[in-house]
Amino acid sequence: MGAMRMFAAAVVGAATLAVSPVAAHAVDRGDQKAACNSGEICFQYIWDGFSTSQYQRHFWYNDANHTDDQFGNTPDLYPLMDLDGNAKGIWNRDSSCAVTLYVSTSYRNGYATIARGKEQSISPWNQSHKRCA
Amino acid sequence: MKKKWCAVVAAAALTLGPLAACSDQGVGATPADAAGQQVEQPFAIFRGASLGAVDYAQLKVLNQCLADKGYPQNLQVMLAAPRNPFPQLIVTEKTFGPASEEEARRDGFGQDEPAIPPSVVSFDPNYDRASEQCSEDAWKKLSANAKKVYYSYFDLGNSLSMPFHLTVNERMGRARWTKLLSCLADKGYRTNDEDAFYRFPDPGLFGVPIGAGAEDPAASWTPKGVPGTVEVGPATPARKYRPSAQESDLAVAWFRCRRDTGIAKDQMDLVMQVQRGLVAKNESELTELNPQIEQIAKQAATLIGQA
Repeated sequence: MGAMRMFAAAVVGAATLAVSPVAAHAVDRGDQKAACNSGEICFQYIWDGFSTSQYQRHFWYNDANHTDDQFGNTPDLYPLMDLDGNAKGIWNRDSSCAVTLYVSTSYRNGYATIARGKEQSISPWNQSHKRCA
Repeated sequence: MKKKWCAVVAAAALTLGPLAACSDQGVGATPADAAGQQVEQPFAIFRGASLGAVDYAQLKVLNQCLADKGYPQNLQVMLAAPRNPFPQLIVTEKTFGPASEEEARRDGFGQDEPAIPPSVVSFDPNYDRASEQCSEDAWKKLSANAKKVYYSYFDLGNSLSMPFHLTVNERMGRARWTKLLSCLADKGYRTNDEDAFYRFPDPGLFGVPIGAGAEDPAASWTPKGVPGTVEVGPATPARKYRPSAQESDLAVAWFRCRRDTGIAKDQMDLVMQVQRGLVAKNESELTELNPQIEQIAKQAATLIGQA
């Protein structure tokens, strides 16, 4: 099954299920716009080099627990699908910091560091992230 | 003595010739050899401090350029000194949990956090254009190849970092983790996700909230987002970590079980093996990039007056 078909199937499947309630950290959704903009730390559900704005999660700051975060759909950013265990791409547009990704919550088990300005594919194992670690 | 041991270990274990020099990362709490000497770890070959120096200098030149164009915010809030962007490549016993009972009681599974600069966010396309131009100009001021080497060195760091924990955990083998689970169960701790524990043995899987104090107080900040403006978020000050009593109790059990099952020692032995393998796998990149990042770091320090 091609990546796009798998993606479509996942989206349909997720949409069919009862949609989860708004995440506890929904207010921390970057600039409330679908695109990954200047200053934001952006995670992507399907790695496509951020050529689309679908299913992203944006942060301004650290987050010790990705397990209560969800990707936002376009165009309304309605929360859909968990960030934890599903982010396959990141774009670090932070103004000052490299961003470290951790396999576990609360910044345990550092796994990768993403340079300022870098966009790249990542392992979906990322349960917390920190700026200027 | 550090230099001597470094050369011995690098030459004997890695046979990497040009890489058999000591790192700029520091030795850390490395394992001791049979004679009780501290032995530098293979990952010490990674020039994390040099990478941090390049990152800091480029950011400072970029931010000065922005200030000259009427946007002083970034320069005003940037850190006072460089940081190694890959602290996870400095592996100690503490990487896997507290290294003593005293540490377990005092720190739990956490650690003190350094200050983090505020986030500067733009709703001003003029600022965005100025920032992009200043960034490119800053790279060129460092050197013609600084940008390429910088990003290549991050890729190299991640080539060492990304497979590290997973490989160590796999080589430890399921039987050892079963032993640890059994020991913890005897002390009253049972994981709520055994599959996750075998995949990645983490103390956060035992139903005890840990790291609760590590949440960034600035994480809920929301900028006003007025078009044409640049906003500065709250800074995060340096913080002392204070574990809950529950977390400290689990940390003591975790330390004792790792010690009594022999897992703590076995894991640090494997750390050395896995690091050797990853360094050998990335030998050509280390050989090529180490002298380049060191040279650019020197030029960068001179450029910002910190040589």
